[in-house]
Amino acid sequence: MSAVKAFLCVWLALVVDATWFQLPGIQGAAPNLVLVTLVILASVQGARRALIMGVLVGLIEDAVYGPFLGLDSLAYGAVGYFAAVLVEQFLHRNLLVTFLATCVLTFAQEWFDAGLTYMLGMAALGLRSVLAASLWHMLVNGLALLVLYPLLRVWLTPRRRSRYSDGAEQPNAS
Amino acid sequence: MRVSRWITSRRLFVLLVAVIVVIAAAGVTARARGARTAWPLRVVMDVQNTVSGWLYRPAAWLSGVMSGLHDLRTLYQENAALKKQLLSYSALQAQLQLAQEENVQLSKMVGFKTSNANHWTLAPAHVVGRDPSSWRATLTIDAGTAVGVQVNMPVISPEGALVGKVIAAGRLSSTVSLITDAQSGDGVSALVLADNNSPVFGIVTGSEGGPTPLSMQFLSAVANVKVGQSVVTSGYSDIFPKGILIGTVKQVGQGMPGLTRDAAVQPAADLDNLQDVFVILRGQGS
Repeated sequence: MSAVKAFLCVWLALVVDATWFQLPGIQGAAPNLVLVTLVILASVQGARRALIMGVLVGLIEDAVYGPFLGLDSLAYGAVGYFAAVLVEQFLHRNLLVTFLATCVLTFAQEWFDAGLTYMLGMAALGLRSVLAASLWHMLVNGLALLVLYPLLRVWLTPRRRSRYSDGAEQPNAS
Repeated sequence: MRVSRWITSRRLFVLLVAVIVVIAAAGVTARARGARTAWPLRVVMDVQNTVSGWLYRPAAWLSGVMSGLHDLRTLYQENAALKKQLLSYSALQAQLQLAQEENVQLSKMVGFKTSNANHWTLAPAHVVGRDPSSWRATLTIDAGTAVGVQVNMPVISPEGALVGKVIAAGRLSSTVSLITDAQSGDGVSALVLADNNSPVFGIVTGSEGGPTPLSMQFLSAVANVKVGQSVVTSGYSDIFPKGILIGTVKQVGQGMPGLTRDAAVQPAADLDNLQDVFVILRGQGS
């Protein structure tokens, strides 16, 4: 159930990214909602789940919008996995750690995306424009995380059956 | 150290293999996307674009209304100017009618076939989404192979300006690569309509970080290219028919020293605010 919920969440983030966040006026200041959702997912459900969801949503993005298959699936898979690795380094999961992970991974994802696109001759990009865009997106994604973290953390935290309950689902205390 | 638990040599090996697989898959699918899209991808495209359409259409409409309100003042000013121009409209109409009659007569005389533009079969489509990536310029439309859309068909705006070409077609939806996308193959073969009735040939490509989203290259060093001149498709390509408006020249610069010149071109289509487009269905015209 939590896997379905996680997939729906990440997929909905992609749909919003590709629709509302592409409208004129919003376009420049729009966060990468997929990345933010994946980082929060990684912090509450672990590396394996985040990796799988990252690859799946990346494949959808590649299939529908991308010039070829593999670019976004690898990028988002790596984002999911390394977000969990970064967050796991600390004893307590908290907003600050997740915020830092979001900023670092945004920077890495932007450079990976731009680098691979450039390397495969799909676009002519300047280093300065990639740097400017990645720094700007770090800021925007960080702010988006601050807004979405409380909501998505509760929504994505898997519910577990308590040993002493009568079958009702209890929230996982983490 | 805790990191070593996560980044083991086995996992690094898997990561390396994944990178190699991606590069291989990129090479294969980048070529294959120019051909027919595989059915699982078509299903994914159609589902994603149908859901995107539910969100994008109302939001784009609302955005258009807000933009319209913003331009209301300009509209009043334009209205006043148009009323003034309308005074000379009747005389102009009479002149136009005479010119059309003369044109028909002359066309018959030289055996000229009517322009292809009148014979394009167009498939209307709504824009239902855009690529969220920062480095690519594609959009998705809600028309696919069911209405005859195929890969490499040109896409134009409602005003007739060039938007791009179809790069992948599902049954109910398609992906369109914009002319501003630097990955659009080798660019668009184009002509600048110069004043002396001798069009100047060049190649229009997407421009990252330039003064305008489009750049026109390989213009003759001695050509008389000026700011404000129109750029249209040349018809020398298998994809874009002749005479589709691409944009206007905004700036003329130096290309290869002594050999060519470049021009910055402003697209005629409002690519950021597109809600509806037409796909030119070739082979179905007369």
